[in-house]
Amino acid sequence: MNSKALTRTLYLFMVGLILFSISALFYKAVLQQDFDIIAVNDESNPTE
Amino acid sequence: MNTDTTIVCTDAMANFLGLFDLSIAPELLFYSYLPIIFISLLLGLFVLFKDNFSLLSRTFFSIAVLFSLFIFNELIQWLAVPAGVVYFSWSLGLLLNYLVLLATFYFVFLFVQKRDLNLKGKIILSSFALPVIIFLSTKLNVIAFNMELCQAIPGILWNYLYISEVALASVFFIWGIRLSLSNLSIKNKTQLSSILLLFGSAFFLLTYFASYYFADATGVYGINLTGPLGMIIFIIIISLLIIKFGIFRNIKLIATQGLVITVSLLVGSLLFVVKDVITHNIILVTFTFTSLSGYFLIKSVNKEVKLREEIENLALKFEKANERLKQVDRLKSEFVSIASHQLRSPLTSIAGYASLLREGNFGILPAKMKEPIDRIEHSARFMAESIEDYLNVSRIESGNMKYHLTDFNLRDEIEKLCNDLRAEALHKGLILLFRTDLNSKSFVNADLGKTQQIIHNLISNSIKYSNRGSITVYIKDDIAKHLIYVEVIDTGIGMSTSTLQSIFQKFERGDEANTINVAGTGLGLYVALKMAEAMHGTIKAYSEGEGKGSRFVLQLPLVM
Repeated sequence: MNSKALTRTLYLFMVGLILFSISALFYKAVLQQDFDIIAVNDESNPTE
Repeated sequence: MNTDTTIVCTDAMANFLGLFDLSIAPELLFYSYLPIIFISLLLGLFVLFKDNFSLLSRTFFSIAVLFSLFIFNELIQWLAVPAGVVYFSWSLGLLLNYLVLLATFYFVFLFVQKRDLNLKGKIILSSFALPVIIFLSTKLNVIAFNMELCQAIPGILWNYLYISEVALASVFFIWGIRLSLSNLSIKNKTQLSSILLLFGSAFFLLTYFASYYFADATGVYGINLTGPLGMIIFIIIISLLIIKFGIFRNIKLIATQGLVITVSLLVGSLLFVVKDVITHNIILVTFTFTSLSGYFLIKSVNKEVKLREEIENLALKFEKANERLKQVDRLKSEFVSIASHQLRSPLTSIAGYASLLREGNFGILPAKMKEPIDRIEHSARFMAESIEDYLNVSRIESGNMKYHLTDFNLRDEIEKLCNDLRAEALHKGLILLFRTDLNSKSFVNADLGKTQQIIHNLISNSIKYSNRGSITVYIKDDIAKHLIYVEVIDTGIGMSTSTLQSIFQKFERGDEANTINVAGTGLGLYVALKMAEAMHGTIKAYSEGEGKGSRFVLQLPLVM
């Protein structure tokens, strides 16, 4: 493969990875709401 | 974990699309966020289209898009009510922030280095983003969500972002300093614009870093609002580069418009924020003043751009004309070369062989052949001399005449010439006299061959145009003026006042000349004068009228 094709592959890989991780984040945060919640002035004691 | 009910921030009320609380929006929308999104996208698009989708413009456009996404994401973060959306937006902010950072590096690299990053460089650059992408949805990015404040608690990856920002800003800063220190005396436009961009980008990244780092450190997230101001600085720098240094061809006018609109929008948006009447009026006046001066600025830049376009068109025309002239000049030189070698050499040969024939080197000639052979020799020599005259004119006009200046005794050279030409004068029944009135050794600094040629020409002319009487060659000096004069005085046909005025011009001959010397070219005196002038001398002609003889004076600087 020449340099141009390799560069394109690299970009596609990065874009794919970014889209995948954003989807994962969206699924986790917005759809599942799967994150720790803490109260004010109580950062040391995360609660669900 | 809660999948059935949406966790919402308690300090906000969803009054827009069921997701956003717009009560905080006006200030942010009008002053900080929307104008910046608008201006960055506009400038990015303009640059992209006007620079014909070059790599540099595409990269700038990418920064504009990423930055706009980032700001939009910030807006969601501020306005969203559901905790999940705020959490998502907060986490995504890290990625967008990091991508802006990488794109900025790539843009600066392209601009300063004037070449693309190689594949290895691109892999290394991309690999910097990998931790952020891979751990985007983990606790390394956001540890937990503070329900009361409706804020996320940033994880260790944010420190990675801050370190990257400070490191890159330092790289830009050091790079800028190194460029500033190198080749101080020959600093050009490109280098200056590179330095400006490096420092500007470093400042842009630092503003970013500061606004987030201190917001996180102090917990006062209002500081975040200053972050986007970094982009304004970046836009101003890019606009400056466009206006001052003309990067991205031909968009100086658009950049000026962009700059004016940005400033006006920013000032104008204050009107929506400020409630105080006096301040409101002050801002109104400022806004009017800014808009008006902006209008005149655009007008003057427009005029300048038009003028520049006209000048460029003219320059293009001149370039073409110049190219044509060069071509003509080359043709002329070729012609001169052909004339010099292909015409002169055979003529010398003809004259030479005619001379050998006349002298009997190929056997005794019959008596009746002597005259034709003499004519052949004479005509060939005349033609060779004429060609030499034309060649001399050509050399003088093209500036290719070479002069080898040496010190020599002018008196001795003139005496020799007189001795050589005396026989020719006697042949026409003329007396050739040589007189001197010298107080110096009569040394001159001139080209010997050319000086001989000038004086030979003057004496020959006098012989040609005199039918009786004498020719006097008189040499005298003026030590006070450091000059030496060679006068050739004849009793020949003389010249009228009008002839005197034009005698040194090309192809000009005396009124009577054509009847006496039919074959002359009218170039001899022109060539003689040009040669004398090149040797810091001159020639002047005097005559009291037709039939009253002529006097030619060659003047040369004397060497003391």
